Amino acid sequence: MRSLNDREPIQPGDDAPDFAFAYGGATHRLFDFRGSPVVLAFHGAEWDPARAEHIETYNKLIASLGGVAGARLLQIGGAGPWRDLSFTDAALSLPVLAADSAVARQYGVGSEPAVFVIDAGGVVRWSQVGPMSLVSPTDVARAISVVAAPFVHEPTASTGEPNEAPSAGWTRRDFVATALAAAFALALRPVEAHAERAARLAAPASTVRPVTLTVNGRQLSLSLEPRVTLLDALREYAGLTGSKKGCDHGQCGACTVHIDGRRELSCLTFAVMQEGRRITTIEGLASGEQLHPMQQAFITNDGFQCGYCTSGQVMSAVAVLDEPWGPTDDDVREAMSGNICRCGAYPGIVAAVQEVRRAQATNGGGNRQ
Amino acid sequence: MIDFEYIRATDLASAVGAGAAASTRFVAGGTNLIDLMKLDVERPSHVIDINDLARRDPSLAAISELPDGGIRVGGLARMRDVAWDARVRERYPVVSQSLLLAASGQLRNMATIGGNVLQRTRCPYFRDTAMPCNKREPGSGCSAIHGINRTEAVLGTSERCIATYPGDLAVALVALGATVHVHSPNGQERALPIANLHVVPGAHPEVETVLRPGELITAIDLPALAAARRSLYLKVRDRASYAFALASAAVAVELDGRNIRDARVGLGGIATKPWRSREAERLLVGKQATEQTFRAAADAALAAARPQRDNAFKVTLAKRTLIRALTEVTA
Amino acid sequence: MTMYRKPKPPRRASLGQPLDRVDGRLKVTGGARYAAEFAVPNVAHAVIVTSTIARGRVKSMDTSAAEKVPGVIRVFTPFSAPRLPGAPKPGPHPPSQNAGAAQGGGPQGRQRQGQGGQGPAARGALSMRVPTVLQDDGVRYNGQPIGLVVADTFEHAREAAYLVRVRYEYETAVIDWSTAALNKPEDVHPLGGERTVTRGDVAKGLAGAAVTVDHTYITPLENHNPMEVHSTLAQWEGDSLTLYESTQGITSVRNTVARHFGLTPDKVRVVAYFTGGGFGSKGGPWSHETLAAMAAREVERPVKLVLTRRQMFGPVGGRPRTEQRVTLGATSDGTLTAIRHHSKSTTSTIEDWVEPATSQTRMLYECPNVETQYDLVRVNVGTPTFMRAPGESTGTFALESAMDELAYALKMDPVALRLKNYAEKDPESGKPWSSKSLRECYASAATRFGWSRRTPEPRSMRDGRWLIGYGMATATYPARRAPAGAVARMMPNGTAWVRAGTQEIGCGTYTSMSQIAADALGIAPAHVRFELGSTDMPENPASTGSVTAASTGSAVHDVAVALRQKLVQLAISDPQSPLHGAIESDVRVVDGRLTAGGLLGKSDTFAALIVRNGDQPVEVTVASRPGADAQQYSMHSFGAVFTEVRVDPDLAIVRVPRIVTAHAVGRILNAKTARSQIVGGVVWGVGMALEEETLIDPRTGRYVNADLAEYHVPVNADIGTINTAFIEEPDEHVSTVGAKGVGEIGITGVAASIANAVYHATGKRVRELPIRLERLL
Repeated sequence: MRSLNDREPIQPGDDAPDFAFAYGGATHRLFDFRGSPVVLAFHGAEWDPARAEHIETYNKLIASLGGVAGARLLQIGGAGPWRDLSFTDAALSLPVLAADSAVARQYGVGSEPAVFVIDAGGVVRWSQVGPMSLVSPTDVARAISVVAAPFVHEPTASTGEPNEAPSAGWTRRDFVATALAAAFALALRPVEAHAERAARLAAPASTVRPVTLTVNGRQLSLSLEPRVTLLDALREYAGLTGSKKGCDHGQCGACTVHIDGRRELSCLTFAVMQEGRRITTIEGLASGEQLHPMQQAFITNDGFQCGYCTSGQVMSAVAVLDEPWGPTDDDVREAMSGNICRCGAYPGIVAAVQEVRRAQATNGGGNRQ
Repeated sequence: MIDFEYIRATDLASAVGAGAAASTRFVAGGTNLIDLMKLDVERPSHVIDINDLARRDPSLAAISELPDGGIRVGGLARMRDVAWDARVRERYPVVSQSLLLAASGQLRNMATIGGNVLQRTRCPYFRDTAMPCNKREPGSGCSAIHGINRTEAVLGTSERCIATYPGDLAVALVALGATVHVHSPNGQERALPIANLHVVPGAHPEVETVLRPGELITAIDLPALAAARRSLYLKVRDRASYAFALASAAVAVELDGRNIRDARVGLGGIATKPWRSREAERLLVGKQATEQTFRAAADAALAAARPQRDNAFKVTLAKRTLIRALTEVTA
Repeated sequence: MTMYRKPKPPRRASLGQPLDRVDGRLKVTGGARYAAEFAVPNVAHAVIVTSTIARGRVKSMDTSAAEKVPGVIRVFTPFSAPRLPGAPKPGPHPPSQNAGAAQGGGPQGRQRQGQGGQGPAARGALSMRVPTVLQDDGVRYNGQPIGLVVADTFEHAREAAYLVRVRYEYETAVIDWSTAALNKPEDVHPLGGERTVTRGDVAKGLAGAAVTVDHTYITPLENHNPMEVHSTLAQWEGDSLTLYESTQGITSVRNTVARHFGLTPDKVRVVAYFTGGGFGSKGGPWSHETLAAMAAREVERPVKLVLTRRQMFGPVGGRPRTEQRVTLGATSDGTLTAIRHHSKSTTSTIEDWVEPATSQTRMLYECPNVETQYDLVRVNVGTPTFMRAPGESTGTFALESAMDELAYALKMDPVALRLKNYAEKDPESGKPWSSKSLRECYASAATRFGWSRRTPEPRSMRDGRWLIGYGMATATYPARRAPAGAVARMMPNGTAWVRAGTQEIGCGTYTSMSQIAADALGIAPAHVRFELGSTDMPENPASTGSVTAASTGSAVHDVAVALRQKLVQLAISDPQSPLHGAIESDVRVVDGRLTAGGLLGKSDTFAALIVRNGDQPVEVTVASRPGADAQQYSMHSFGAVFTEVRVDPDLAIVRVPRIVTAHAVGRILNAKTARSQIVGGVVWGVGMALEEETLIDPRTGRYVNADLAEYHVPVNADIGTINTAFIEEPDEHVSTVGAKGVGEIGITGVAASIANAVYHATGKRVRELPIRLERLL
C-alpha cells in the first residue's frame, strides 16, 4: 500500500528531508539533531507489541543504540504526544511523534513500516521500507556505528552511584505504548550515493566529468567541473564538511587533509587532480569510536576554542610527527605555523603534539596513518 | 574562476606541445596557480596537469648526484623532499634553509621546485583585479608606485612595475649559480643559468621569465661549489613564520683562514627578481672576513636601490640582513 | 509550605574544575556543524559583488555576461533587488541613545548607565546597525556589497560575480583620516556616554605636578578575521524563515532580519550551534544575512552565502583607527595629580561608532583631576564595531604606555607607580568595588615573572646579541550582566536537559554551563545535556562583552536551582518516596540521589521520581535579571601582564618568549577553558602589538592587505610561553555564580606591556602600533 506516497521513498545517499514538529511549546526540527545519528522509524500497521519477537527486536535495537553516544531514535506513528525519553547513561533519547502522514509523504512512506538511519550530517545512510520480517537488529546497529559521529554530550566514566532509572521494565512498558515495527535487512550503502546525487543536481556543463576520489578508504564517485577544488568537492559535493574553508587561498591551513599520507591544502588543488591518490580527512582519522591519539590530546590539552581551525590543526599535527622535525617545542611551533588559530590556542596545540610524540616514543611505535 | 579544460599529461612531449597553446597553464602543486585563478588573475582556458609525468619518468621528481659532485633536482620534486634531503642539507645548507623558511609544511608538500622558482609576485595590486597593474594588464598603470608599497621592491624596479619577486629558493639558487633545464615544445632541451631565467620588469612587467610558451622546467642543477657547504639563508619577515620576506640574504662563502676565497650573495624580498649581487661578491672575494668588509659589500649591494614612500626601510634592513648572514656564515 | 533556601554547596563541585570541553569530541572529529555546513536540499549558492570605489553611486550594472554563465539563477543589483519594507536608510546615523542604554554589550554605556537598565543585548545597538542590502545605489566604502549572484553551484556563482560590470558615478572619497574633518562636538555620541567627562580640574592638577608626560598614541585599523568567514544559509517555508548563521548573537540577527522583511520575530528562526570565532565581528547582523534571505525568497530555494576572506575586510566591521593623546601629571613621589585622555577615532559614513578608548582611564587609578574626551572622523571605510575588548584594548595601550613613560620620568618602578595610585574604590562613582584583587595580581605575576631581576635602565639587559626587555601593564575590563533565560528539564533517566539561547563561539559555553547546572542540581556534569544556539530557546544576550558567564551562567544556575527545588518538593510530597515528609531544607542531593538528615539510610533518586511521576519530565523555566547590586557597586575585572621581549638590535626583530599574567575575574567556572580564554586574549595582544594593521590605499580606499597572507595574525611560532594565573574572588554582586567574565580582559594591557618591554630593551618608545620592525630600525 503506497496510497500516501507522492514520491519514491528516500534512498540512502539522499538528504533526510527536514520537518518541523511542535513539542514542549517549542518547534523542533530534524535538523536540530545534526551532530548525532538519528534512526527515524515509521510504525507499521502490522505492529503487534504482543508478539514477543517484535519487542525482542526492539529491545535489542535499543541496547545497540545505547552503545552509540548521542544516537537518537525518532519514532513516527504510534500513539500519544511527543515525548522525550532517555535510556541508560548514553543519554539516548527517544522522541516519539504522533502519526504524521505529511512527514511520511516527505519520506515516501505509506502505511508500511520504515526505518531510516541518518548520519550526523543529515544524510540517509541506510533504509528499509516495505513489508517487514523481523530480523536481528545487528544490521541497524552496524549501520549506526558506521554513521555515528560523536555527540556533544558524550557521557564520561561512571560518576558515582549507578542510575536506577532505565530499568528494563520501564523500558518495555514505554515501548509497548509507543510501538515500533521494522525489519533491518539491507546492507549499509556508502556515502558516495549522496555525492552522486548531489553531483547530478549540478547544472550540466560541457566540462563536468566523472571524478573518482578515494576518501577515507572509500571510493567517491562524483561528477565535477575541473575547477572544483578538492575542498569544495568534499564540503559541497560529498557532504564531508569536516575540512574547513578559512581563507580559500592557502593562507590558513584549515582545509588540511592527508594526500598519500602527507598533509596538503585541499583548497589549492583541484579534485580532478587527486584521482588515484589516497585522501584522508578529519572524518577518517578516528577508528570508529576510538579517537586518534592526536584528537584525544587536543581535547585533553584544550588545543582549540571555536573549533573551526581544529580539523586542519589535527590533520597537520598527525602528519608533522611523520616529518623529520626536531623534538623541541620550538620545532613544533615552526612545524605547526601553517595552521592559523585565531582563538590563540597555540600553547595547547603544542602541548598536544608533544604529548603524542612522547607517547609514541614510549610505545616505540610509529605514527598511525 | 572561469571554467577550463583539464588535461592530464602522460608524457613530456605531449605536455609541452599542448602547453604551447595560448592561454594554457601547467599545474603541478597548484599552490600558486589555483590561488591566482580564484582571484581571477589567472584565466587559463586549458590546464595541463603534469604530475603524472613523474610516474612515467621518475627522474623528473628525483634528487640525484651529478658526475661533477653537484646535485640534480627534478622539476617535479616537492619542496619538502629537497628541503629535508640529507645531501642537500649537508652540501647546500642555503637551499635547504631557503625551502624550510618558505611557505608552510602543507605548501611545501605540494609545491614543486619548478613551480616554486616561477611563483608570481605578492604585490597586492597585482592580486586585486579591481586595481590597475601593468603586470596583469599591460598598459593599465602601476598602482603600487604611488600606493601602499611597503612590501615592494627597491632593486630592479622600473617606472612601470616595482613588484617584488617573493620566493626564497630562487634567491639561494641564483647565489649558487644553479642551472635550469628546460624542455621545449620543439622537443629540444636547453639549459640556462638561473640568473638568466627571471627578467626585470623594465617596459614589460608582464614578461617575468625567458621561458617560451610550453616550456617546462625539468630539472635544476646545483653546481659543485666549495662555498656551498658554508652557506646560509637568512630571512627577515613580519612574523616568525609563514610570511614572505621583507628582506633575505642567501650567502655562500669559501674561507681560507679569515680570508674570503669565494663568495656568493643573493638577496630576496627587495628586488623584482631573485637578485644576485656581484657587486657585493667582488668586494668580498680576497678580503678578510670582517664586519668592515661585510658592511662595504652590503653598501655596494644596495647602492642602486630606489626606495618608495613606504619601503625605504628595506634598504637598511637588507644591508643589515646581508651583514648578519655574512657574519654568521663566516663565524 | 516551603521556604527557598540556597542549596548547600555540592560535595564534589564540578564548577571550576578543568573539565574537558563537552563539545571537544565533535570539534576534533569534524562533526561540529557550522552555519554553511547544514545539508539543506536543493541549496543554491550566492556570492556577493562588492564595490571597487569608495564613494559615489552605482550608475549601472551590466549583468548580461554574468547571467550567461551556466547555472546562474539570478543576479541582484541595487536596481533589481526587491525593496524591503524595514531596511534602514544608510547615512551618518548616530547610534540611538535608547539603543546604548539597552545594549548589554555596549562598552560605553555599561558603566554610566548602570546595568539595571539594560535589556537583552540583542535588542540594543547591534540590531540598530545599518546594513547595506541593495536598497539604494550609494557607495560608501570600497568593498561594499552592491550585488549578489545566485547560481546552482559555488563555482558558477563565483565566476558570474567576476563578470558583473559596474559603472559608477565617482565622488571624492575621504580616506586620509588625518586631514578629514572632525565631527562637530555635538555630533559625537559614545554609546550611552558623554563626549567629554571631567572630574576635578585637570589644568590645576597639571600645574601642581612635579612631572608630566604628554604623548600621542596611535592604534591602526584592524579586522577580526575569525577563522570561519561569515556565512548564512537561508531557507524559507511559506513566510517563515530559518537562518543557519555564523553569529555571536542569534537574537539580534533574528530581530533585524525580521524587521527588514516586515515580519514578526517569531517568523524567523536563527540557528547557531557552533560559531567559528567572532571576536565582535559576529556580534550582530551585517548585510549578508538579509541578502541571503532576500535571495532565498526570490529564487524560491534555500541559499547559502559564504563571504570570501577579502569580504571580511569592510562589510563585517573592524577596529577603528585611534589617535589618543594622554597627559599625566604626578608629584615627585608618583601620586597622580591629573589625567587627560583624548581619543579620536574613525568611523564610516554609514554609521557613527565611537571606540570607547577612555573608559578605563576614569576608573583605573586614584586621581582627583581627570578629563576624557572623544572625537570622531567619518571616512569612507567599512563601519567599525566591537573588537575584542573594544575600548580597553586600544585604551590600555595608550594609558599604560603613558604610565610607563611616567614611571621612567619619575625614576620609579612601574609596579610601584601603579600601587601608589591604587584605587580602593571607584574614583569616578565613589562606589565600592564589588571585588578587586589587582594588588594580588601584580604580586602574583611579578613574582612568577621574576620582575625583581629587572634592571630599569633601557638596553641594560642582554642575552648574547639579543636585547632583553621586561615590561608590564595593568589589565581591566568591566564585569557586566544582562538579563537571560533558561529552561531545564529532568528526564526519566536522571539526566537534565538545559537550554538557553546563547552561543558557543569558542568560550566553552557548552561546558561551563553544564558544570553550573550539574552543581546546582546535584548531578554529575555528564548527566547534563546543555543545548544552545536557537532562537526558539529562552532569550539570552549576544556572546559579546564578556557577559555570558555572568548572564547566561546566572540563568542556568537559577533554573537548575529551581528545578532541584521542584524535584525535592515532589519527593517529600510523594507518599511513595522514601523521603516522604522530610523537611526540604534537610534534603541533600549528590549524584542525583536525594537523602535527608532525619531519614537515615533512606534515599530517592531524580530518575525514580520522574518514573513515579508517570514518566513525565519535570520542567522549569526562569528569566534571570541582574539585581540591585549593580547600582551599589562598581564592577570590574582586573589583571596584570608581565612580558619579556627579545629584540635583535640590528634586524629589529622582536620576539616575545614569555608572558606572565594574573587575573582576577570572579569565580572561575572551568579552569581549563578560562585559561584558554586568557591565553587567546594574550595571543591577540601579541598580534595587536606587533603585527596587525589593515592597510587602505590612500587614493581609492581599497583594502590592500585583505587576506591572511598579508594581514598578519600570530602564527604558532610567534607565541612563546604564556603563564597564566587566576586570583579567585567569587563575586556574587556581579552574578549568582560569582563569575565576572573572562573573554575580553586577556587582551587588555598586553600591547602596552609589550611596548613597554620593547622600550626597556631598546630605549625606543614606539607609540604607534603595530611595532613593525621599521619602527625600531
